[in-house]
Formats: sequence, structure tokens, C-alpha cells
Amino acid sequence: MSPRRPLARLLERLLASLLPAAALLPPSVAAQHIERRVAVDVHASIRIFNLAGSTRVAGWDRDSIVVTGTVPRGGGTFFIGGAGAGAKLGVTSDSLDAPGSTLEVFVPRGATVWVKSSSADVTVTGVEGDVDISTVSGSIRADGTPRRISAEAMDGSIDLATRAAITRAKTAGGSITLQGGGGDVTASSVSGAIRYVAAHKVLVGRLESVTGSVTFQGTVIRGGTLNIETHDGLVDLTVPRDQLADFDLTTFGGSVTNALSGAGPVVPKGKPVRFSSGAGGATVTVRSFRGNVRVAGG
Amino acid sequence: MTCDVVRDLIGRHVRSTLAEDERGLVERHAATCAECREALADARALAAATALLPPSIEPARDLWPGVSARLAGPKRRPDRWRLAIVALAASIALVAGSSAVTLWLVRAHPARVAATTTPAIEAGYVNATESLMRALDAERSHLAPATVATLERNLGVIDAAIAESRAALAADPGNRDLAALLWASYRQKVALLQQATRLVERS
Amino acid sequence: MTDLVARARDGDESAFSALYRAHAGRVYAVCLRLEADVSRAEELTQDVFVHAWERLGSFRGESAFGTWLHRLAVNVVLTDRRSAWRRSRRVMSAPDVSVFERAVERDTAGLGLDLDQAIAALPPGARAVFVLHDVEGYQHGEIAALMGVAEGTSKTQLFRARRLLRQALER
Repeated sequence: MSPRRPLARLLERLLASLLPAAALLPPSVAAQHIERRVAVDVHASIRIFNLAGSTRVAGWDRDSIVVTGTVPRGGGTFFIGGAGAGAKLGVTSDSLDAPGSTLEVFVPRGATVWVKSSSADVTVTGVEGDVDISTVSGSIRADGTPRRISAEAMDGSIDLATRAAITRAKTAGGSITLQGGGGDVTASSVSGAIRYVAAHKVLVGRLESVTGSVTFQGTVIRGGTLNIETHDGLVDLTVPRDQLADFDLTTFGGSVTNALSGAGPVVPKGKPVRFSSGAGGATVTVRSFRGNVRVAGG
Repeated sequence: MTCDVVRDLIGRHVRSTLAEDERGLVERHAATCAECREALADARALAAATALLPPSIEPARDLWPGVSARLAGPKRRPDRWRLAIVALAASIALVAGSSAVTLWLVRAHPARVAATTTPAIEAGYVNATESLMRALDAERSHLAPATVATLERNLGVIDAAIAESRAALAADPGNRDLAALLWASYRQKVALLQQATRLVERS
Repeated sequence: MTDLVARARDGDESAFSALYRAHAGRVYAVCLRLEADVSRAEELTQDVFVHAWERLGSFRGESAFGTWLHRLAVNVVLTDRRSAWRRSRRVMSAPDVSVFERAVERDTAGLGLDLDQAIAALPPGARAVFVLHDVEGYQHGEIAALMGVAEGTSKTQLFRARRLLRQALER
């Protein structure tokens, strides 16, 4: 990078005030528009790196990656590399608080996608390989049918409308909303609320929080298990009236309400509350230290 | 004109960079609101003195030798391998019933049962969390302060839960459900610390 | 980026020591005002330059080196302050305000000196927000993100700091 003399900079500023900036200033000073294409295998591994701004990844039916977007002034440097079985792309910056970049990345549908963000919001749609998203405060949204999906955030919210063989959602303070499920689902938060509305029958479901509330609505398949563990979070389960399950609910400081039977709240003080709906078959276990537990039909 | 809105304008009012109509709004509000009037007076009183603060202060002693001594050795990037090994070891050392939120890799290696008594099990978790925290401590410069703040806030939530569960278990030692709840909180702590190490590894 | 920075980035320690000479006073001022503790500020200043050396490899010259270094200094101080894993060897000491006496560069009837002393006496949260906002020019949104607090908290702390400082100066 050539040293910038004060006079040259002054001249640029004068000209910039008279003419459209992008037309005159070199790319390193103006916002950078991205449009790149790379040929890759249909099951390529693709790593996408964008700490701030927004990242959108969409699966499509071509064996290439196309990325478009904008890196604002001071936002850092765009990079893309690789071909064939693996590719890496994104925006890097030497500043911890550079302005965010907007990236839209088309990837082969069958690709495995790994997305790293800090505050950038991430959306992944239509990808059928493994999906792995990590943010700190950025929100995560995904839909479609990835083979496996893992979403991790610290404070960012996680919203998965996916159906996958294995689903892992982990947050510290952010909320988790799952609207798909199927297969093996685990959602874990410390203080964030967990909401699982199972569009597909639950095979193995595990919902864990420390103080976050846990809400579940759906059907557990015969022989399937739904395990909920919380210290202080409110637990609210809604199952269909024809759900066949054995319930095992324990709370030490909270109350248990079996609304399926029309009963009111009881305070079992650590003694397990066990009952079955229908002939049983699925296993629903709730363990809570102080959170109230409610099971209702709906 | 609410106080919140006016207060956001105080700084620029004192520096005389507000538009005329905004300036008028601030002054009219301050005429009727004692609190905002005081806040404006505070800012005015400090403005001149703040502008005169020297931007640079020479340390009393030469700090360069202390810096130079620490530059010896190759430039250090985050020690990904050490972190990964510590995180993995923490997972494997935990007793059966390991949380499903550990790394996919670890799921292929079921946890060995290291101990069966409560103190021994707890020692296992405490070792795991201590070694993770030590490893993270060495790398914390690679985490943004806001991330460290979030991490500490949530560790605080978990530690409070652990303390409550421990106290309850101490009062009722044979209670397996209480023990299960305690281990669940410990697993949350391990998982959160592992998540933090992954943030460093991937940076 | 400048030649000096480029050479330091390539591992030239003498170039880096020249950068140290040029920027240490600025870094120390930020550390001292935020920490109000001389020995801590000295350690943090050294930490900042050690971190800078380690991270120079990823510095691409998109911002001025001084700006980048300054941001790094603020991050290092705030991260240290928030750390629960601080070394226990750190001893809590009363702020040694005599250090500010050397810093007076102009005959300002002691105005600048009194303010630095008053800032040092502020409670830590209010002090950090005042220094970052009124002295260093950060916005509340940035301060909130850096300190892991709500923006409203940053604003409240600023007003509290200004009130306490004005009372101290007008005594």
C-alpha cells in the first residue's frame, strides 16, 4: 500500500465532495462490491467467514459457488480461495469493530457449510450437507433439510426451521426456536428461552437450560424420548391428547401441573410425579430444581 | 421534549454543534427541568477542562525492557491445538451421562466412567472446568471484551445454580435426582467453556 | 501503512521499538485514566504492546496504526477489568494521583491536573464511561458493546460521572 501524502488526501477529499465517491476513489477507500464465482464439487466443504454485518447462504443446483455482496469502507478485505473439494471465503479485518459486510453466497445444495460470525446475522437455506454455524451476538436462522445442523451462539438468537438427522442448538443468553426437528434434537441454553414446536415427531429430544424457560409442543414417537433438564426455567409441555407416553416429572422447589388429567398444581418437593397418557410408549422425563412444570393437551 | 432526548443532545449543545432549532429545544426544556438543567451545567463545567487534558502521559519509568523481554520467541497465534486437546480431555474425563451438547467428535468416544462417588464425580467436573478456564485465560486476549462479559455473566448464572444444587444435595446426600441436576449444571458449565474455546480456535 | 509498521510487522524489533517510543505515552494515558492505578497501568501498557506485536501480522493498514493501537489498548484494559481470572497478585491500591503532576504541559492554572485527579477518584464504572466518552470520543453504543452493558447504563454512568466531577472541581 503506497504511503498517502497529505496533499493527495486533501485533493481526494475535495474531489469527493464534488463527484460521486465510488467513481473516483480507489477501491480501498470506497465501498467494495463483490461478485465472484468458483467451481466446486457438489459435496464440497465451504467455510465462510464474516464477523460483522450479514451473511446469507443458499443452496442451489449448480456445482459452483457464487458470492455477491458489499464490503463498506473500513470494513476489511474480502478473500476467496480453493476449488473442487474445498473452498474458503469471507471478509477479514484487523479492527475488532470494523463496519459489517453483506455477503450472499450460493453453494451447491449438497455442500457442507461452515459459517463463522461474531455479530453478523447468519441465514442458511436450502443446504443439504452438514451445516455448522457459530456466532457470538449475531442471530442464526436456517431452514431446509441439512443432513446435520449445529448452531451455536453466545447471545444471538437461534431460529431453526430445519429437518435434520441431528440437530444441535446451543446458546448462552440467546433464545432458541426450533420449528422442525425430526431425528435427534438437542437444544441447550443457559439463560435463553427454548421453544421447540416439533413439526415432525420427536425421536430423541433433549432440552436443557439453567434459567431459561423450556416450551415444547409436539408428538413424541412411540419408543422415543424427550428429556428436559432445567434448574430454574419454567417447563411447559403441550402434547396431543392422543399422545401415548409415560411421564416422569421431578421438581424440588417448583410445582407440577398435569393438565392432561385436569389436575391442579401440586408441589411434590422432589418426589417424582409419574403418570401415563394413553397406553404409554414414549418417555417424557423432566427434571427441574425450582422451575414449575406443566403438561397440557392441545 | 423528554429528558432522554434532551440528554442525548447535551454533549453537542456544549460543543455548539447543534442546529438552531435543537439548541432552542434543549434550552427551553432546561428552563423547566431542574435535572436536565443540572446535567447541562455539569457538561459545560467539564468541557473546557476535558479539552485541556494531555492526550499523552509519559510513564515514570521506561517500560520498553518489559515489553522487549516478552517479545522473545515466535509471534504467538492462538494455541488451537492445546485448546482443542484440553476441551476434548474435559469431555472424555466426565462420567457417563455426558451431555449431548459436547462436540460431535466426542460422541464417537463414549465417556469412560471415572468415578462413582459424589465427591469423586464432582472433582472430575471441577478439574475439567478449571483446566478449561486456565486454557481460556491464556487466550482471552483473542476474545472481544463483550464476549468475555457474556461468558462471565452466564458462568455466574450457572455457578449460582451449582451452588443451590450442591446445598440441596448436601442436605439430602443420597438423592439421585438432585445429583443428576447438579451434574446437569456442571455439564452446562463445561459446555459453555468449550463453546468459548471454539470461539478462540476459529478466530 | 508506513514503512516502520511494515518492518515491525515483518518481525523487525527495532522498528517496533521505534513505534513504542512514538505511541507509548498515548497508550499509557488511556490505561492510566481508565485504571487510576500506576502499577496496573504500567503492566497494561506493556500488555498492549505485547498484544500489538502478536497481532501485527493481521494488521493490513486499513486504519492508521495509532488508531488501531488505541482500540487495542481500550480492549485490553476492558478485557482485563472484566476478567474473573485476574492474577491474585494484583493488590488494590489507592490511586496515586501524583503521577498526573508530570503530565501538565501547559500553564492552565492547574485545570487539567485537578480533572485527572478527580477522574481517578471516580467509581470504576463511571470513570470508564467518562474516559471513553468525553475524553476518548467513543459513542455510547460502542462503549456499551465494549463494556458488556446496556446503552442506557452507559448514559447513566456518564451523567453520574459528570455530576461527581463537577462537584469535585467546584469544591
